[in-house]
Amino acid sequence: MLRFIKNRPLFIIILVSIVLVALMVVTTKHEQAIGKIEGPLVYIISPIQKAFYTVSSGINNFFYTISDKSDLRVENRELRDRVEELEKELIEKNELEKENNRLRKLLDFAVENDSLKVTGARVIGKNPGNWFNIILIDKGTKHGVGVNMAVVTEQGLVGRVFQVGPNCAKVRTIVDGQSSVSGIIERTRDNGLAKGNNDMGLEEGMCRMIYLPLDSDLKPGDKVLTSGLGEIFPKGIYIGEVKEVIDEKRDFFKTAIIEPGVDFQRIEEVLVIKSSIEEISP
Amino acid sequence: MRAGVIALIILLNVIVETTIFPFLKINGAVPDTMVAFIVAFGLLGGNPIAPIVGLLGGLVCDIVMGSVLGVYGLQYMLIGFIVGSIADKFYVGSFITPMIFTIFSIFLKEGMMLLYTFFMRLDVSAYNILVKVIIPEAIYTAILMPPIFYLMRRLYRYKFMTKKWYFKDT
Repeated sequence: MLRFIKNRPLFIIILVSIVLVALMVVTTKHEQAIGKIEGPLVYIISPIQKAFYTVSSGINNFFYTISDKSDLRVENRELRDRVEELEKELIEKNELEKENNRLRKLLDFAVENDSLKVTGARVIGKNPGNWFNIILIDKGTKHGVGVNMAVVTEQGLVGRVFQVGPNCAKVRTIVDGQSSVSGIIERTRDNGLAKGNNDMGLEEGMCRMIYLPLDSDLKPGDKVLTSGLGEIFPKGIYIGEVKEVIDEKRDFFKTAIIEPGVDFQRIEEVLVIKSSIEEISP
Repeated sequence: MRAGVIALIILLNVIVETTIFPFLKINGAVPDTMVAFIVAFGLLGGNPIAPIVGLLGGLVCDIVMGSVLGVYGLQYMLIGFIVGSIADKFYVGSFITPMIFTIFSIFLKEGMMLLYTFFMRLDVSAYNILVKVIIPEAIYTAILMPPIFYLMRRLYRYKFMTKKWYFKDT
């Protein structure tokens, strides 16, 4: 034992590992704990992240636009001298147009759902690595954003805020493995639980709707909405569409694979629903 | 000076990983350049610099984008410690050794992540994770290793980087 303690490097590493495991246990139970200590660090790097994200998002959209417009490519070949200038103008215009469309759709969503108090936010970061599906938005407590507020786009439900700092907040998306949302099938009115998954197989980017009644008549193509149960997500927000129904004879419930309405790869602006569910419910 | 350089590398890397790499996914996999930097620190600086960089880099990742504090901190620190402990037994002249260490480290990191998901009771398929995440991520990161290692080796030509830190022995 004494010899083990005398091997100081290993002893220090084991000690720090134990402290880190303890931190993991504590912060798993109290998700808001990170929010309290992240303040200064995120305050410094979130403006840089915002700038970087805007630039890389622009570059990504640029390639997306180019691949979509083959006639522009032909024109580019003919007008090599003017190509840079034209591309720049086109990208700027398309960017503005796309942004305008996205914001108009968000505004339409907000107007259609005028019972909801919402605030717009930009996505400024996504989690590193391949495991979790978390996004960072540029609104925080200073803008009235709080924990457990629902986050949506005009395409549907994005997720919920789980940590919030003064100027930014972290959103756990509905496709994250630790996310679960109470949902309802629009046509059949069957209730179930839409869970995200970390499985990188065929269901990557999909949700699983579990605990659906065995006698449920749901079919691929059925729309899934939030049920309003659970006091986090307002009722009636579009989650996605049933892609496949799994009916295992040994199970007591049916399961459905749901394709979310939101395109999480190209998400740029979101709306945070600031009103509580009590305020929304009639 | 060295602490400042390390802090800058960590912060820049986290910013790039959270803002640019999400758009550079290949088949859904993104590289982990933090692992590449920790391996480079381990091979060039050994212990205790590598586990310290791993711990700090991991904690920054946890704080900035993680939901649980310590997950990345623990993984990166252990990678730094293991690489730093065995680095002097290998010839680190070419880019091949750093690339092999990077692949090994990604497997180690994702193995620890699988263990974490097991304790968190998350429903994952180890086979899918291996095929869809671990192998592409290891290859992707190993490909990015040569330029990173080249830059790190250039950085280690400066005297302030080679000044030794020690775990104080009794």
